[in-house]
Amino acid sequence: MLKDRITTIQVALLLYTSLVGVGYLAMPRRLAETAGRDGWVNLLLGGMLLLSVNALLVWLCRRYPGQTIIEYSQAILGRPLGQAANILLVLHFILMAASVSRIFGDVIKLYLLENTPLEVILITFFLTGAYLAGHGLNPLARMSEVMFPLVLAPILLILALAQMEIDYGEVLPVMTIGLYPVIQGAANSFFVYTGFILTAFLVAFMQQPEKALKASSLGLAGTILTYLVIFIVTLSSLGEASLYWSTYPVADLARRIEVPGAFLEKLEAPLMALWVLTAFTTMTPSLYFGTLSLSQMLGLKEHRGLVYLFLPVVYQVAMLPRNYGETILLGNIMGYAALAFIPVIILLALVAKLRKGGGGNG
Amino acid sequence: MDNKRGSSRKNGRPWLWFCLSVLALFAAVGCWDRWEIEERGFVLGVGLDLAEERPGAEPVYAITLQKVLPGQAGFGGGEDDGGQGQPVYNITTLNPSIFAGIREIATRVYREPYLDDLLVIVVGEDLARRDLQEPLDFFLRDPRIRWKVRLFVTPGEAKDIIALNPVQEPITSIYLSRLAENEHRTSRFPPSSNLGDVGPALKTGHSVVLARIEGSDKEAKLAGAGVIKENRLVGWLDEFETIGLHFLSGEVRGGMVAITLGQEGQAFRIAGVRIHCRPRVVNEELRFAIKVWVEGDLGEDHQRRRALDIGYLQEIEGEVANQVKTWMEATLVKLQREYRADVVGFGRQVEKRFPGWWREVKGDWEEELFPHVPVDINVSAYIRRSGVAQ
Repeated sequence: MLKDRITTIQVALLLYTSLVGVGYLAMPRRLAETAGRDGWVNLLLGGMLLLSVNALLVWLCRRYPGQTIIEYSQAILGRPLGQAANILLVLHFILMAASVSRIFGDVIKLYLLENTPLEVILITFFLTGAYLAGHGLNPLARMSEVMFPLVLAPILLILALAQMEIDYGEVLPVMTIGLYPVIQGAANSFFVYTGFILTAFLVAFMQQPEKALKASSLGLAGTILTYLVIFIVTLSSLGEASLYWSTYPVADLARRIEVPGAFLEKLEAPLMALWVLTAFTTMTPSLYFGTLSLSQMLGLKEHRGLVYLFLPVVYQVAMLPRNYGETILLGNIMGYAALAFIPVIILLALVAKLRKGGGGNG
Repeated sequence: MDNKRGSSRKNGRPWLWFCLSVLALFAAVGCWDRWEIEERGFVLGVGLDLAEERPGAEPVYAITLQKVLPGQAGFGGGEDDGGQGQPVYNITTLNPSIFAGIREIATRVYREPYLDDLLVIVVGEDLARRDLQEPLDFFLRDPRIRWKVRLFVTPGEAKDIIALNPVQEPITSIYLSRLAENEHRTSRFPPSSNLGDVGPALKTGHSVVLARIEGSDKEAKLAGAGVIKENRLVGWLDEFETIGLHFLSGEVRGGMVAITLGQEGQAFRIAGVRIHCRPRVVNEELRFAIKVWVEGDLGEDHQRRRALDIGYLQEIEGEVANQVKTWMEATLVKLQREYRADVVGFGRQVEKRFPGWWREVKGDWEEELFPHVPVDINVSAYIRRSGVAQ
């Protein structure tokens, strides 16, 4: 059934491009709201949690070689309980695709296409994504290889140009409010790492599954590092006060930059154009894996057509929020759904260990 | 060939695909957001004044927009404008909302105001003394307005500054923003007086300074600073107090120090400044120690002593250091005693160094503590070069 085979580096890149999502434009503000200047500590703690959960996930996948989480969750927990976990997974992918697309649509409307209806922006975005997702995992993996430099380019450009007016002293003082609020904040800010569950599918497709831990950890560590640098540079360049009231601090970073000689001004427009790809590389995998989960749950052999049935649901959810506040709420629900998988994964691992299930070398 | 046949068999109905592609063309013909360049009314400068204060209601703003007249802005030999001069059109409208005011200009001007290339915002004193956050909110909220827009306050009416007819440059707004680019040649106006640096401070109620601008008929003078505290203009710093402020905050990017040694004058060109500002607790009392290192060149010397004389250079260095220290102290007295406004950011230094204590005193800092904090200033000056004449 799983015909597609992907390489080690593709796993790392697919994870990176899926996790570095549209959220990074607003991420510094979201973190500053809970932790102030210490937002980067949250990212770091959340990142450690992420890497350990990922290791557990890889261990699980290696016990059930060639199976995705949809299949082995039923093997471990039994059919009813396993399917319940799988429904949660499908919902999570719907939320992820919807939330990412909605933020994408809002930002594009705000910065580039003021008079274009949101519906048009979203439908074109979804149809392109569905076309790709309908062709299976291999095109998707190749897309992430091609897109990776283009996802990284706007981030690197902005961060480099921001170095002209920057005061890294803004990071100080560190952790004055104590450890507990920081840990609490780390849980709240885990939404930035939504999408890590992809590992649970990707290992089954790997040509060399023995390199799964290395590949996925590389992709995730890259994500953590990118977020850390973005947060610290944004804070140091704009100051703490700006982080609180700016809707998209990273875009404001671009708004602030003025290259001497004024031949490079208004960097937001090219940034946004490249940023479209960032949104695309997050939305498409969630669409693909959402459909894959659904088809495996229902025991279908072919999932191509299912994408187009899946799409209207995602579209409806994306159009649910009536304003930016509700869009954030949608993002939060998605974040908590991602967080909810951590106990599920631990439960799966414990039961698998006790039952000594699975044939692979765990 | 084989490939082609294969694909047509796969697609099945070529006529369906043909119809779909024709349909797709309809999606490609138009763009909702097309805005032709000749339909854009380029606004380069905005002046904001207080037109009318109404008790219990929003005040009415007088919004002056400087629009470029594209027909006359061709900088070739404009024969037919008959020496009338400026390729600009200044239009003033009254409205309690800046956003609505700018949009309602559509009743008088057929090109929609296009603010992407805005260069300067000038605020009149009356408005600045009332509140700055409200009138500037629109400019901070619009994603298309750049953060490098220069922000000036004027002791008179902003309208008059926008209406200036400078000789050096036909478009006033360009002249004003180019003037602000001289920040590395003189230290007499604050360099960070722009939307992106001041906006967040206004939103959070921090004290900041804005550059002060004054106009005569043919030119403007950009010098001094307006002190903004709790979103309101509370007073002015003159040119020398502004230099002192820059030495306190380490923002000096250039400028001159003129001194007199004995009866004769010397001028010192500032090439570089480094400052070190650190709060300490001495005998249970908070003190600030500021160390300043200034280096530069001797630009002018009216005495007949030889600049090769190391002892003589040291005398000048001492006098330069004295002058800088005098400026800094004068500024400090004004900020601490008169305005009680911590525009230098001493509070931020306390936060970095004593974060626990800062959380307790944060609320009382500007009113209670900052005015009485002793500051020890220590300046050293170095003359590195003295020109080609001895």
